[in-house]
Amino acid sequence: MRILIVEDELSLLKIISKRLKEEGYSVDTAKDGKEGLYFAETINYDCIILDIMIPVIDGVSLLKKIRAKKIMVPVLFLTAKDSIVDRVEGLDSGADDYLVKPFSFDELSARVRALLRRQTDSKDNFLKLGDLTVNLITHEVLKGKVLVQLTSKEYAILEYLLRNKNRILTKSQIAEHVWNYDFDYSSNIVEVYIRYLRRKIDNNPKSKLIHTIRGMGYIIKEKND
Amino acid sequence: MSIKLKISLWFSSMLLIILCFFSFVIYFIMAEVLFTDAENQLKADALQASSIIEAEGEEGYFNNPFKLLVLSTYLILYDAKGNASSLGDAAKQIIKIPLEANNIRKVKIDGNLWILYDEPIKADEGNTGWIRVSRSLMPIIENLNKFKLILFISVPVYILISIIGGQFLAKRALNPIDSITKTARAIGQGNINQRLKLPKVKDEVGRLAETFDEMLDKIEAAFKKERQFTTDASHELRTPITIISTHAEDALEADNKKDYKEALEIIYRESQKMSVMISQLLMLSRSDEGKYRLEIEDIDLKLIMNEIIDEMKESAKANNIKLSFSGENGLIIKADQTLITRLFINIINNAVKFNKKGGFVKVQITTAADKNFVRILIEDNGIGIPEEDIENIFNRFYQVDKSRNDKGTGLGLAIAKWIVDIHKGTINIESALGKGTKIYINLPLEINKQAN
Repeated sequence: MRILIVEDELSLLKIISKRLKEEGYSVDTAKDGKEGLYFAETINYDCIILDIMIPVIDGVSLLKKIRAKKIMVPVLFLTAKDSIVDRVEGLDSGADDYLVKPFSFDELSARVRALLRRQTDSKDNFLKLGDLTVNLITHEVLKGKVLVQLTSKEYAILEYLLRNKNRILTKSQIAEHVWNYDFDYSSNIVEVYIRYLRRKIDNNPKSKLIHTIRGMGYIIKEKND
Repeated sequence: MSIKLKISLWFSSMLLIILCFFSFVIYFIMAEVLFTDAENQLKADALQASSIIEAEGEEGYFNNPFKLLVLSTYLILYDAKGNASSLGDAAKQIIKIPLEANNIRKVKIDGNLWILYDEPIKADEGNTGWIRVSRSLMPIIENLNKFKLILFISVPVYILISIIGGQFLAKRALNPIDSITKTARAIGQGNINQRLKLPKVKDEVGRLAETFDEMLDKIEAAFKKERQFTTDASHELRTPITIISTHAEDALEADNKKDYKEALEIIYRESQKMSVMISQLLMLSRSDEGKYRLEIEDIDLKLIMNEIIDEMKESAKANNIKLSFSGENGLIIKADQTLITRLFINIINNAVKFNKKGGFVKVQITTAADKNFVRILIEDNGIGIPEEDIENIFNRFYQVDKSRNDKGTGLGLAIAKWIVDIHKGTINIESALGKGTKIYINLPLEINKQAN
């Protein structure tokens, strides 16, 4: 899953980015509103973490511009302690949640998960399909009762597919949501990773989960759907 | 505080301590020597006097005591009853001191320090008298005081001389450092070709200056390389841009769907090529900055290679190229999965692309004898690489044949080399034109345990 952080305090930006990457997210960073707008318009993020006080274009204006372009990505505002007015304004202009500084990273992480959960209509921190169970907090993947070891990118692809189950996803969408901005999307790297994933969790042709749609992309669903 | 002053003060303090210590020691040794000498002289005088008296008989001397006053010591002759035969101010006091045999004693007479020594005179009939020998220590003490004064005055003078001299010498030694600083300040991005060019002295400062110039050489080379990269990249990107704008112009002049479609297809194709190149360029420039964040995990090379080979079989089919792979089980290394995947895809892609109809690509993975790294061999019997191109093949944008239809960006192998380097591995090519190519890649099991 891919997250954009727009924050001008560099040390905070660095630490949030690092921790989120450790949790398996693909992270892009912007240090002012203009840069943030450019990223948000170009790439489909799964979540945007936005500081209200940022230079060039402030957080609330940036959010309004994004929403005006019909970009409905969940947005989490970071606000300073004493600005209730800011918080109200932020929520009213289209933010989905806010977090007051200083905050603990664990809380940020949980709120991001909550925002992502809303996108998939799930009420808990698990994604299930067939005999596949994914624990979004521990990143454990169970095939039936067996624990499967996935690498971080394999897990990220599986999570993205499952959050968008029953929807066709193109190769570039998958690449965009799993790797970050500098990644070289060319060649068959996505196809190869789908193969890695299939080898590990989708070996049985009778109950195939990941399907290839020729000319379009991939879809994860149970065969009967 | 400047280093010159620091050094001078340090050495001067040390010199001060040493000189003080030295002065004390010398003074006390000198005092000791002089006093001991005086005492010994005293004893010797007594001995000499008593032996002269014993030899000549004491009667003669009781009447003529002054005979022996030629000695430097003050001599008093006593008879057996302890009556002295000589007089004088100091003598009167000295006389009063009780006799004690063979013991050098220090006494104060009128505020002056004297030593005295009593020696019994032996005559044939036994102990018949005494000789008392005494001497003023004042000459010695006065000399010692003069000595003390000399030391007291000269030590500070020496210190002062050393501070000044030290400053002067330190200045001479450290001046080159100031000149290095000046030159360093003057060197910026614009005039990075400046060098210190100090005379090659084989001391610490000389080495510093030499190393500084070497460092500037390296920096200049790095800047050049980067400028070259930027120039080459711009150049490479210009070609697809030109094609796009030409066809866009054509499309604007056209008026039928067919022409529009053709132009758009070409535009789409070229923009895709550009997109690929730009992603690769971003990856390389990230690597140049040293900011690429590796995600190290346990990677099973056999599993990975199997899937890559299966995937590439599709494109290999087109030219009837046979792909095969043999590898041991359990070949697990700690590496970045995305990069290693990209590495193998790039290399095998090349092996398939630059091949002949019906050719083969063989991949083999084995563990090295010392078990610290794995060897990957990718062998093909394709068109091969001319000998003069082999050493440049990993350079960015380098392509052996730029006229091919399916030419890529020229960055694939540069990226491959970077991936191998960042994992602290090695990559080598053997190739013969027309015969085929062998690529040897060594990757350490763990990045920290470097492969040699």
